[in-house]
Amino acid sequence: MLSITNLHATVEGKPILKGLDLQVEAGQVHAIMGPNGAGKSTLGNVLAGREGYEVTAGEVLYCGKALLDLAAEERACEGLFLAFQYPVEIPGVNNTYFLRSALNAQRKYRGEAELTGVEFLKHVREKLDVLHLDQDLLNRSVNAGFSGGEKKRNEIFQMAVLEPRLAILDETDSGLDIDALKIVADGVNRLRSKDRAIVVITHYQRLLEYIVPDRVHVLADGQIVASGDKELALKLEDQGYAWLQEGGIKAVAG
Amino acid sequence: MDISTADKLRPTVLGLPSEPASLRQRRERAWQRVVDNGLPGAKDENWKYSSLKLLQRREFEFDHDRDRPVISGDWLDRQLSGLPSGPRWVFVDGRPDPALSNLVALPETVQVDTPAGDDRAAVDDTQDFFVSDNARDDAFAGLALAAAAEPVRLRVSADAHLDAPLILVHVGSEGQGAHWRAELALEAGAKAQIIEIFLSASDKPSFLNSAVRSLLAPNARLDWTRIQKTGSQALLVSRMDIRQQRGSELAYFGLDGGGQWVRHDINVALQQASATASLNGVFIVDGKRHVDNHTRIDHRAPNCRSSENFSGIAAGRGRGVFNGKVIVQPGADGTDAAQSSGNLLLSPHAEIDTKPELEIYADDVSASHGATVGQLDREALFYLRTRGLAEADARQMLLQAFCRQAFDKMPEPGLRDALNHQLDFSLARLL
Repeated sequence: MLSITNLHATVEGKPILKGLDLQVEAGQVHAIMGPNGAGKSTLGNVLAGREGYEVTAGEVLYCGKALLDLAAEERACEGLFLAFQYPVEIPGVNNTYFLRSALNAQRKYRGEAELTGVEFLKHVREKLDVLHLDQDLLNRSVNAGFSGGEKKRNEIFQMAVLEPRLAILDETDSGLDIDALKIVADGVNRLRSKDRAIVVITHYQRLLEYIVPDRVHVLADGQIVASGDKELALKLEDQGYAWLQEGGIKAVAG
Repeated sequence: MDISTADKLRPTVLGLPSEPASLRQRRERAWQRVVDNGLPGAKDENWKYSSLKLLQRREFEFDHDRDRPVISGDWLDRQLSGLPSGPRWVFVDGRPDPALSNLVALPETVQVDTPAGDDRAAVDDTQDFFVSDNARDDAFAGLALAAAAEPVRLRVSADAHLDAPLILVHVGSEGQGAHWRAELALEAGAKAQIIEIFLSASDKPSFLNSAVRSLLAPNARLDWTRIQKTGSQALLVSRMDIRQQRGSELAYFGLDGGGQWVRHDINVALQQASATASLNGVFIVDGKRHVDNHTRIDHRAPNCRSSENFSGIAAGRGRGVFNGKVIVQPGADGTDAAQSSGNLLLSPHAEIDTKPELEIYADDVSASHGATVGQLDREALFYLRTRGLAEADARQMLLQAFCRQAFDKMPEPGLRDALNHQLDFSLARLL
């Protein structure tokens, strides 16, 4: 589903990604771990199409298409979803209006019929329950005045509503207490399916206890330096990222 | 002093030929006052952003030909579609058009007349028409007093509540200039809703000078909605003076989405205790449009409350001005005055000038103001796009949100929807 080859990207002229390779198949959950400054969030932002990130080399194929040639909204309409590390507050834009407009924009792009207000509400109500979100969230402005935990749950709620093919969760666990973490993980797990891939970007192993990944990658200094199964995450937790610099990489990668 | 411009704005005859001599003399006195003081210019602080040069450069015909059909009823219906229904009073180039108006639905509690034939010279009501420290600030009000051919008078009886809004429609036609004025009195406990709409019959030049003076008796409530969507060569000077007595309420919501050069003044005098005034406005200036909103709230009595919330968007080479003056007079203790002016600049060539002015001479006063000029939030735009919204739709959504908050507090949802619809129409021009 996602094939990244030799990806190089700079931010304000500074190289951040330095030859990153990653293959993600449909039905899989991949975790990308790494120390601060390794380029984890840059990867998410480059894939979602944020301005200010310049790809200087490499290729990203998503469902056979050259992802980097698409505008941010086209990527979304093709089924790519980024759960933001810092969801944006948009005062005055009603959640229901926003989400329905977004869903219908995607449906229109795919040649599907747009949902009426009633159909849309039916579609979203069940998703709210999963994330333990109150229905009055629908009448509030997007993320405005939300607590940190509410914002993260709202991201996963949006993901549940939009039903993407590839979801990238950028540090969705940061700032969550254990109860909120479980709720978010539950929401993500319900979206696991054979047709959908999920990439979980995280600094800590904790989230992976609840969202058990098929593959774990370690991102350091702009490259994937180690890949393995979920045991790799435990090893990182146990030994810390410093262990990578001490030559442990080859042992795992080899 | 610029007599030549004032002369250009003069009809051949002031008022109607049938008027009593005393009324004509009063008009002449008002005219002379304007000529003596002159029209405002760049040196007048309140007019430094709004130059009269377009008005000076253009030629307008002030002698109105009543028999010349300008617009059709169908055209008017289309312009007003989506608005709540109510009695209509239509003025074409400042003169009432009985064929397009429909006042039969007005209840008997509303007295409506054009007091052209009245000899009101005995009542010296010119004094409180000229309220400003700088006489030139009152020049256009003086012109309206002198030259509005058929002033309108509305009086709502004590404790009467109007079920439907009264819709005042102004239509300017090609090459025409007009002066118009109205007196509106709400007796004690009366409630009225007025929707004032400014239109142009075509995209050709026109000029209107409008002055409304209103008195709200104790516990009266006035809801005033302004929808200004005149054409791209329309010049408009409009002014409202509202005096409020004990416990009265004013709720103003205005949208300036059109016009080429617009100057709008709102002067509120809170004359007795516990009166409240809420002024909420949105202006959108693109192309070379110019919209200048000047508000002045004079707290003269204790425990009055005023709030102002203006939002402006400037694009292209547009220029928007907001000047909000709040005066808290000695003795106006317990005043609560809040003001906010938020603005978006969408182009490097657009300009916003926003200036709060607070003068406080009383104790125990709560006064706040905030003015911002910013740009569209790139982060929010990206966020919306990552959910699938096209950039144009995402921009529209953010601009809508920015403007609509000014109308959030509108008590009538139907009217709010209509105003938001008009707003969307103006915003669509920016894409």
